[in-house]
Amino acid sequence: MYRLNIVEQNTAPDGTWTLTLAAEHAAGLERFVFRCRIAAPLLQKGTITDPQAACASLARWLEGQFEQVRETSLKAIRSEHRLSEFAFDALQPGPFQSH
Amino acid sequence: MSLQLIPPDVNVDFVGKRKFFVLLSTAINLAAIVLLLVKGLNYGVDFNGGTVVQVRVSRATTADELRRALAPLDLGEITVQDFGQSGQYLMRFEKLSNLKGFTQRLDSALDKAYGHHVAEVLRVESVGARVGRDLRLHAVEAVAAATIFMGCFIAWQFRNVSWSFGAGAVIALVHDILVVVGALVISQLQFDLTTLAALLTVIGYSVHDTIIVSDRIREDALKRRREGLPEIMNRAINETLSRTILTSGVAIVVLIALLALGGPILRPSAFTLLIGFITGTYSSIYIAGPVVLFWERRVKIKALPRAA
Repeated sequence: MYRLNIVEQNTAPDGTWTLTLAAEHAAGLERFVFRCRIAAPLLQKGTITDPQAACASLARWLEGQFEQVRETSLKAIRSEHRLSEFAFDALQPGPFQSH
Repeated sequence: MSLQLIPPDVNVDFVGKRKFFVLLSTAINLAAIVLLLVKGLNYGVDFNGGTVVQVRVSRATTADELRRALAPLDLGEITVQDFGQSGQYLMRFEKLSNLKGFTQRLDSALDKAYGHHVAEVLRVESVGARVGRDLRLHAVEAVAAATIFMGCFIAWQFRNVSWSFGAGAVIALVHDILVVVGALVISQLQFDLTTLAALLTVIGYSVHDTIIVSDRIREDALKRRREGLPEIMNRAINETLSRTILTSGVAIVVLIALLALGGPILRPSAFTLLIGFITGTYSSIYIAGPVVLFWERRVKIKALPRAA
């Protein structure tokens, strides 16, 4: 089991949120950090009003994409010394698709 | 005027000088075995077990300062690698008796030493000692299986000329593996999963080069039934020399660039591939062929069946 925590949260002038998240193994075996960028229109359309709610939605999304996100994030940190970034917008709303 | 790095009528006596190079290679292989037993490879966390932590520190710091920051966690000996201008550091330590809550304790220790949010832990990876041991065993099995399979395949494919081609290929492969492993022991570059992948790539490349030479020997043996095997072998090696040198040369140039510019993460695998490609080219000429000659005491080639 992994826990998802917000390390940092930034809001751009256009309202886009950039969340830096850390996924940590419950037994302390592993941690990897990555970024998620959520476009302002998605936040306005949906019911996401605070970063913790966004984090909860991203946790559900991460469950379905876990291995891919984990490998991408670890590889980016190991080889390129940068955080991998996952963007959510109108074309790819991910867990922020309004019903 | 065409570019000719190797003249088409080159006639180097490779087979005549084989004894010297076989002795040289044997000495190098024995030295590699001794080094492996005495010093050993620098296994990464994948094979050794242990914990790796990569942090980004937003102010100037030193390896010693990082070690002092983590001293309260009682982690034993910590190896710190500086990635340069990125402000990132890689820390390795062998044993961690209690992993539970480790990342939180790590955050607290770094916050206490550097201040809140100055040092950010980007990744933590831990491998248990048992998993590391199992991975090492599987790595040896993978290398052995690849080598044996290659040998059997080549022996079968060249059975019409001589079954000893398979033995020559296997011995050349073992030679290449030992040379590469010896180089890794001397350089103490980290041996991890990517280095293992590079070693398996070396096996594939080396046997590919050996097949090229062996196939030309088979072709020449069809055409020149009156000549002895040493003459046929020498001719075949000279005829394929241009292709061998150019193909290997191009690959080696790329690997030198990768080694020089690839950075610390790519260095172990680039180094492995570079040494492996050089020794793979050498062994195709000076190891595989002499093994076949040693095996075949007679110099006559067996009658080859008519092609279908």
